[in-house]
Amino acid sequence: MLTTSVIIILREVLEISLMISVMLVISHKREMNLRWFMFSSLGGGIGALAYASSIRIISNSLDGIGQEVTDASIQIVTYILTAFLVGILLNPELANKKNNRLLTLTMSACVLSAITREGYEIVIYIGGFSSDPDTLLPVAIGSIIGTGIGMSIAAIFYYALANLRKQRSIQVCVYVLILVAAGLLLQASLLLTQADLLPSQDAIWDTSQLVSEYSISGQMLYALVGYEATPTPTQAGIYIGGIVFLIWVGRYEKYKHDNS
Amino acid sequence: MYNVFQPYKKTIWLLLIFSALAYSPLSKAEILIFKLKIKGHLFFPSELEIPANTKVKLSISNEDNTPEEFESYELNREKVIPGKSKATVFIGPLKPGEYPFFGEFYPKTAQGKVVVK
Repeated sequence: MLTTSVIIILREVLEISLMISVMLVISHKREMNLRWFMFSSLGGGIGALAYASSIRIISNSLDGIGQEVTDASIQIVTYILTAFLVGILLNPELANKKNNRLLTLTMSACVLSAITREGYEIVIYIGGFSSDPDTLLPVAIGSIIGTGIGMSIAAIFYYALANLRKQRSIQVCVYVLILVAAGLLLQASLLLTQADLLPSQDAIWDTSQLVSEYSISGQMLYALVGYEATPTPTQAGIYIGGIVFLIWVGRYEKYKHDNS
Repeated sequence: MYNVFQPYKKTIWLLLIFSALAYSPLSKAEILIFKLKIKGHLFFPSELEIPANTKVKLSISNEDNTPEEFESYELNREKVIPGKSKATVFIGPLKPGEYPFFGEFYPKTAQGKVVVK
């Protein structure tokens, strides 16, 4: 029970740690007041509790695919927010602007949706044991250990990115954001396939021999950039398209400035 | 003020229209339904036989009080199922073979596989 809960909680925490580390680095480099982060993580916590407490209603809605549609929608919205964020970050006119409200709002929304989405599974998992005192203790200890490991890894990401020079740091943050956001889009497409809203197809390739989804490296890659060993052509197309679109957004912002 | 959203207006609209289309209720052909039960952190049946190259609907009912997450790397599926409730997961069309699945919250006991013939 203990090891299982360490792994489950660690996985969920890792899934949001890269995004949150990147947001905090941007916040630090752009000299933003950290209040936005407090409010948005609090909002995310409330969102996770609200989602978890209405999980039965959500699950049973839309002929039993409500959960997939809701999760995929949150992921797609986070992707769109990331696109705005990339645009704002690479726009040279906004680079030195203090108190950029658009930037604060976009990052807050990203953090809020990330915590809601990953948090509700944690709430459901731990909540399920609350009625059973025998398992509650090992699950609670496991969850604390899992959260601790996850946050330590997040701290390593944070310092690795924060120690770079400002321009370079923001650049690397954008690359990481692009990978994380495309991973979210890929996960959304998996959920929509599971709900039969996207076509089910044979896998376009199989990299499970190379990196198995059962392995630790596979789990890490899944949590961080949405690794999938056997994507369908549609899913691979969505992933690659998702990356290309965000790169285009970044290029466009730069190009527009260079030619104005 | 310079508006960063302006250049992406078209793209945003396209995305919105696309997602609206994706979620619109399309008429669906009759789909075979297979039932799976979770009880005492075990799957019943633990081996589920389904026809090859056919899309099927898995109706999973969790009869335990505790939640469970149906998960399969081979099938690319994962779904949280609260205690005392039901969930729907579509799988296939699949090639003949074995596709293991497990309950992520109780992985030691909750194990099973889909056998495609």
